[in-house]
Amino acid sequence: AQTVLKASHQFPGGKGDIRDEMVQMIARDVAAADVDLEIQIFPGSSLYKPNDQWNAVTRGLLDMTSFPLDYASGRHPEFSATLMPGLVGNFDRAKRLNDSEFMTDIKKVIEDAGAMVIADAWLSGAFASKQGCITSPDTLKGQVIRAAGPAFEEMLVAAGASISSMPSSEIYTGMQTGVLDAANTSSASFVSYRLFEHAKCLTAPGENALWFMYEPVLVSKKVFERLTPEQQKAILAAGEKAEAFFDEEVRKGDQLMVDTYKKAGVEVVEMSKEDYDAWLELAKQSSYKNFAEKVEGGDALIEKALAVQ
Amino acid sequence: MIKAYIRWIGNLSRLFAILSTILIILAMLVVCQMILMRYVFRVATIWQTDFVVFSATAAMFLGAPYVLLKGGHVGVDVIELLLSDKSRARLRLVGAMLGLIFCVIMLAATWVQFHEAWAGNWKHSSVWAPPLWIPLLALPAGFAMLCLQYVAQILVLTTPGMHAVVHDPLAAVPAVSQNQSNVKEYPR
Amino acid sequence: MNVTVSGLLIICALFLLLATGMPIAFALGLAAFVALFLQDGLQIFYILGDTMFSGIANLAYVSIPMFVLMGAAVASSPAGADLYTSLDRWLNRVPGGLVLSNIGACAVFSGMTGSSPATCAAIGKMGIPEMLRRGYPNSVATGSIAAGGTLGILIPPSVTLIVYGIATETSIGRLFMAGVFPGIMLTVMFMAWAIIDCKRKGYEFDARFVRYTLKERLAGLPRILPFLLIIAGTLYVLYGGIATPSEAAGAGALLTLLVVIIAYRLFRFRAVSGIFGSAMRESVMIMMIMAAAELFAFALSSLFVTQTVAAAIADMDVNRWVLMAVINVFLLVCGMFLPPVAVIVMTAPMLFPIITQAGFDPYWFAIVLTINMEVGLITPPIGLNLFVINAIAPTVPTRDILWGSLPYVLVMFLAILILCIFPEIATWLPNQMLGVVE
Ligand code: NA
Ligand code: NA
Repeated sequence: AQTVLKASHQFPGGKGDIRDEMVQMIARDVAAADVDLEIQIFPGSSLYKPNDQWNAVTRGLLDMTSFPLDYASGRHPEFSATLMPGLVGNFDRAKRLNDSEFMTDIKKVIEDAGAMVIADAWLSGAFASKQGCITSPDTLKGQVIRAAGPAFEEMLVAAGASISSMPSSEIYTGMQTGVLDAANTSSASFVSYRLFEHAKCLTAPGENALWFMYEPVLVSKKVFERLTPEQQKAILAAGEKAEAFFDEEVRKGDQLMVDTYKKAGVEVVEMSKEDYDAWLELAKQSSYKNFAEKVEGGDALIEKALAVQ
Repeated sequence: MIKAYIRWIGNLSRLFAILSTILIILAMLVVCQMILMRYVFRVATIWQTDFVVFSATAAMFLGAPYVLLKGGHVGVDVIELLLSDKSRARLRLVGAMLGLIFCVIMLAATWVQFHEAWAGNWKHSSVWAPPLWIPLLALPAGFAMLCLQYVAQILVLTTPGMHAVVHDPLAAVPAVSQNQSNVKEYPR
Repeated sequence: MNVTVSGLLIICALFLLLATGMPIAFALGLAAFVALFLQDGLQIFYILGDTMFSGIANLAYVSIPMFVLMGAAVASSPAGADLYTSLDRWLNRVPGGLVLSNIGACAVFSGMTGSSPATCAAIGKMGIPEMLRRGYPNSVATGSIAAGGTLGILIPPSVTLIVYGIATETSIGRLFMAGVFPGIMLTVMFMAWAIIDCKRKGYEFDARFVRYTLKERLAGLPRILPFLLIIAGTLYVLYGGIATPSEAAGAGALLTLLVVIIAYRLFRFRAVSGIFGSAMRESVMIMMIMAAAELFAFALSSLFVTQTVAAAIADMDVNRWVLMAVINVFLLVCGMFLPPVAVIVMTAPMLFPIITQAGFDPYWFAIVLTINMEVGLITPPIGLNLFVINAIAPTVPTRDILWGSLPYVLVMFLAILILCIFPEIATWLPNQMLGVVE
């Protein structure tokens, strides 16, 4: 009989979100491979809450997920490195990072926990502010910002910002009423939440992007091992194809954001090499330092990532 | 003996209720402190959000046994009203048994969850990163207490001569039973 | 197992469990457990706790106990009575004036709490005895309070709108704004019905012959001041760029407590602990149902029941208004059997994509859904407001309460209809204040 796998993620389904499209593509390709395998997709947290997906996939209760790995950093502190300011920089470097020793270490942790990566994905993000352009660290001083990710919050606090945590759906109202001066989130959210209506300046990812988040497609190892060799091959092939698709589309997404904001009359800037280095210096004193203290072998992990050209 | 058990469990539930109430009050005060720090002093608020969320959530599980004691968890009483006194008592017993079964299941499940968080030293993924076992402890504690409270109710229902306080609708009503003396005479 | 069969089984199991009269929360949880256990076996013990805990461990949900606390503070003090007295001095010469005072007091009170049972209890414990004393029939006295109380979840703040906002990732601040005009509209419609009803039946009560001088009328006004202060203060925190809606709830609760304690000199420990005690009980009741509803929703989704139903509704090749009618009937049926929060947790994520696909405004839909839930609060077999009225007025037979509430149910249907014809009633204010969102 047909084996049915459950795939879960937190992103809107059928609305063109690339992470949803990746999973849909995998489901289509696996079905086309004709290996008695069907993938049911549960988008928009309709099965598991975002944070609960890790436990479920490593236990074999959930078969597949598109998962922001940092969400599991409370259980595996190493994962904080996948949402660490300034560790990636740009898309080409992200690609090189995937085959580096750094990611080999991370993937080892994933596998030991009971899951495996079938498609790598690094998502880029931006900054926007109502006050002015966020470039060097002192441009953020005294602003209330909603940041995405604890390691970022640590660095932003070190830059003298005040943090307000809220779900991304509240950022719009937050910026409008003035609870927030600035926001940091993924490029996709910057477009879909229409923050250009309240932002004065957008800091686009460009060549020196601070914010990157690793959101791979994971498969439960327990489940994978139960599949036939043909089924396993079909899944791996579909994953590889989805990864290539993502790499192409994610760049278009950044361009779409820049165009949208320019059209709305928002100033769009990028960080210069000096700005980026200043942030990196700040990150070294805050997030990197905390990470090295908290995680065994943490400094070595960061060094491996920074060593990638 | 039975009477003593029922009284003791009731008091223990009340103790949990006090703890729960204190956690709610703390959550309220910390929210206000957070707003003040951020809005007036423009400084970073690191621990407040986690604290508020976890204390309020823990409060809900810790308060549940007391709400059971007071019959404050609403249920459907339509069938009950159609029955004779004897069958009604039997139906209540069945309901209490089923409730006990659920609470035992959840006690086991939440204990597993708590124990993993404790043994694995899991933290909440935030800057403050509090250990997860602390808020998670409220779940097995709350469900264990719910089990004990259900046993007490079943004893009440099965021991002749004890009055059952299952689904006393008054208890579900905010402040209906209190402060009656505060209501002023209406001007005519 | 076939999706339809497993879906029917889990629903039947839930009804059987509910029939024993056990708490709704535990019935939902047990039905979900049985379904999940049959599907996944012992493994599910690893996720039951996660599902319940993360179902309610959310900053926005913290506002529920806070908004309940606001209500409890006012309800446990003489504030409710004062509000009601002041209104009566102005309205006592209108036919059915006392009914109007009740509905008006419910509406004002709704601005201070997110909960309908709290509204019902706060105004009802004063209003019902007074109406009965002045000779209003049982059904008129209890029906108007049961219905007026439902305004608690329509006029912001609102527990159900918070739950909807989280379930559908829509902005809670915006949802609150969308509720303002529909809330006022429904209040006016309730009042209009009360006047028509009392005129039609020719009720003449002692109150009509009591005359208040202008001085007496004005003297009552300062007593309303604390309420206006609380509402204005909370609104300022909410929309003045000070805090997010979830945080504003905490500030509102503290503000209300301070105002009530100082204005009414409630410096005794008993009075204050009574406020907290009742707030804790109601919050726990609501949140336990929500946590268990998360478990039930998870089971339904896991068995693919939710997706199958959603696909069936979405695939119906019908006019979008027929679709809206089908959804409304579906919600009404759910609302009759389950409390609002449980219905929203289980259905909102499923209905949301269908609604937006069909081109309906999600904020407008939230209001339609809320009015549907209001109906559920005053219909058997589970109507939280009916339970409250039963407790406040134990001498009034349930039949009278139901007869009294029925006309208001019809008024609510009319309100839904009006909202369908003029969606701007809900969408205008948020669009005006917060800008149009696609
Ligand atoms: Na309200
Ligand atoms: Na109902």
